[in-house]
Amino acid sequence: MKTVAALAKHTFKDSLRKKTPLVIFFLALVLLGCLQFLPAITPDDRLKLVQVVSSKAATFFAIVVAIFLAASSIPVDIEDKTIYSVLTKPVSRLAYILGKTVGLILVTGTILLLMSLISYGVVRLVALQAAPKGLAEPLMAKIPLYASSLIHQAEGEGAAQVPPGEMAGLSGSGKMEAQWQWEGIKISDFPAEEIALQGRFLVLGRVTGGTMKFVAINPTSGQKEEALAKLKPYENFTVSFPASILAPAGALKVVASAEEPEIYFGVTLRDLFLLKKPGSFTINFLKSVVLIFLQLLVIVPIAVVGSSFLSAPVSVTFSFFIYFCSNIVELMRALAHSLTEPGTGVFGASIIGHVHGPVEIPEQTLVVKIINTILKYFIYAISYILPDFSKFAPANFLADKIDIPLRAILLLLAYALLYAASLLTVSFFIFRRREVGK
Amino acid sequence: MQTDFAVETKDLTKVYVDFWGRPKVRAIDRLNLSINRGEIFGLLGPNGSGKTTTIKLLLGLIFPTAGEAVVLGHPPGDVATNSRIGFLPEESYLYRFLNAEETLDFYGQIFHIPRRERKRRVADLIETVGLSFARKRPLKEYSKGMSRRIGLAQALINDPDLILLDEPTVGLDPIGSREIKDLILELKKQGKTILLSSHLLADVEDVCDRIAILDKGHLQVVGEVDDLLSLKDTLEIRVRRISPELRDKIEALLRENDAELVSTEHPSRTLEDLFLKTIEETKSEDRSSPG
Repeated sequence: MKTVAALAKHTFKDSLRKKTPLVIFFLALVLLGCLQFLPAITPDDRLKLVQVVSSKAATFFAIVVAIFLAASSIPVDIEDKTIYSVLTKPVSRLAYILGKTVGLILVTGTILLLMSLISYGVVRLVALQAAPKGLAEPLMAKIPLYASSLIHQAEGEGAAQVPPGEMAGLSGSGKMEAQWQWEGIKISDFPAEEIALQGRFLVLGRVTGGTMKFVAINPTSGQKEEALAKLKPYENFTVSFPASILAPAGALKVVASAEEPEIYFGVTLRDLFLLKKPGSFTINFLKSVVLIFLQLLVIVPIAVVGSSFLSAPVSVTFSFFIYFCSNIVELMRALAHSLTEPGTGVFGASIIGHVHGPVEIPEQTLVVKIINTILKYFIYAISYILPDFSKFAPANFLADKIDIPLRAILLLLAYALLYAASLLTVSFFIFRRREVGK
Repeated sequence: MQTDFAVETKDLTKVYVDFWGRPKVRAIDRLNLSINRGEIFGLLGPNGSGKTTTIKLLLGLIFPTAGEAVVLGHPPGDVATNSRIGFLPEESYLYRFLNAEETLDFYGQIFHIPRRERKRRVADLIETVGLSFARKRPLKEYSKGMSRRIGLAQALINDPDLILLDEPTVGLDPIGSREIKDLILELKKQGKTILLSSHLLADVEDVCDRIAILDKGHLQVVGEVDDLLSLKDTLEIRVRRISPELRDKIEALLRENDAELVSTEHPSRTLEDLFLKTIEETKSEDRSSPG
């Protein structure tokens, strides 16, 4: 343990004295500095843009530093033969790998922390500048409360429960409605005067969007309140109801239906949520930094695995490739799925097909089917082996000003640790029998 | 393999293979060596003879193709054994961005030497190897001779029982070289076992108790330096206070046993002669054998 600490400290010191992290750090600084001048239409858009760009930039630069340092760490030690003076001392190969990894995580973590401090400052500054120009929403962390069930009802078809993750369609022409139900709401979690609902639905049919009618129902008293909201594609909407609509028993129903016949909305269980009293922006920002740090916790061991048997340039390329694929695992799975199910397509093409009428799809030959099936399971296998980095991306939480749930962070931490431990085990078994001198 | 020797190898063989696993070079071939505790053992050989390969095998940096080695009673690379070993690589490959003090402090930490003790030992070693004037300079600014000195210092940070020195005096000026050799003799006095490899014959002749000559991975000669260098079929007589008259009569006087015999000893050929002769012999053997 002491050996690992000594090696980690040494790796930390040695890495910081090399130029790579500094150069990348300054590049990041320049970029963050430029964020101030980003053009945007409304102050809210500007703030959103600054948050997204700064969070993504911090992630990107931290990952770049991590990959460059970690992927080259062992090959450079072997090439410079500095490894001779370490492994001939009472340092097991496991301790060597662990020491390197911990040191590199600390270095990249430090760089991430510095970049985050600066981007926090930039975001605060932009918010301050925007405030007098009429900022609709100040910096905060909304805490969403999701419904426990969603029921879809269409005239002539009856009601059906929509499972979590699945989408139900709402169109004005079909006299359809969607009903979200909440239970166990604590009234103290909400502001006294009014309660707000926020959401974002898939809007198809008209680029300017359409109107949706929301009816909130108190199941105990039967009290009903109505509100209309203008929904635009890819934009959040908010509707408010008087707080009296909340039943003391903590239950609420909200029914949504389209007002105009030619618009089609897609809704899921988590597309509409109640807003609790907001949390602190600073704490949410910190949580976002933790999420990025968790990415480092995974990417450094990935690069270390590469560096335990590859040369520095190959290992850097390998790590970037893995990182790239790990960001698109959902897309990979969709692609794999569409290989043997022609017509389902990627990017929800089936929904579009549904709207525009059936599309003619040519039949696959047997050879193509076999190749596609093999390819499908190969891509599936890889997509499940790779870590899913999109789950660790905090930018959208920040942009939507939504509180990152602590439970998600803890789960991801466990996931990252498990992943890192398995990777380091692999790395150790590769490196154990590696000859480090010619 | 049970052994009382500090280092023992049995049929140690190392074949380097290419990317496809095909044998490329037979760097060491069935090497049998035993190094006694407390002696200075010299490993001699031309470039590419397998000296460094042998040392790397003994340290567990690379793994033997066949045969085995025992170092201080354990297999090479054993973590516990490593705490009693000091190693100076062929070139001092150390971390270029650290200075002398940081370098030694880092290696001291690896040995879990307590902070105060570490500080004292680092200062002592820097003094011993004569680097006090450059203790705060990063190693990337060091000259070759200075790198050798800091390399030697890091090999001694743990006060090791067995010290492996690969070309310890290479790149040093004659004075520096003398200082290092004196240090090696001093270490022997402290009871340490030293294995040094070199192609600088004078170094080996000056300090080694026993030597082995390697060529193309084969052990050619092994034995005590004095034994190997003495010519037993010749007798050298040294005479003091010899006057011209006496010199005229020397044969007669010798026959009469009248002269004062100051010393009689086996005259030595130099190690260089032995070395060149040994290498020459392998060359002619190679030429005579086909393939």
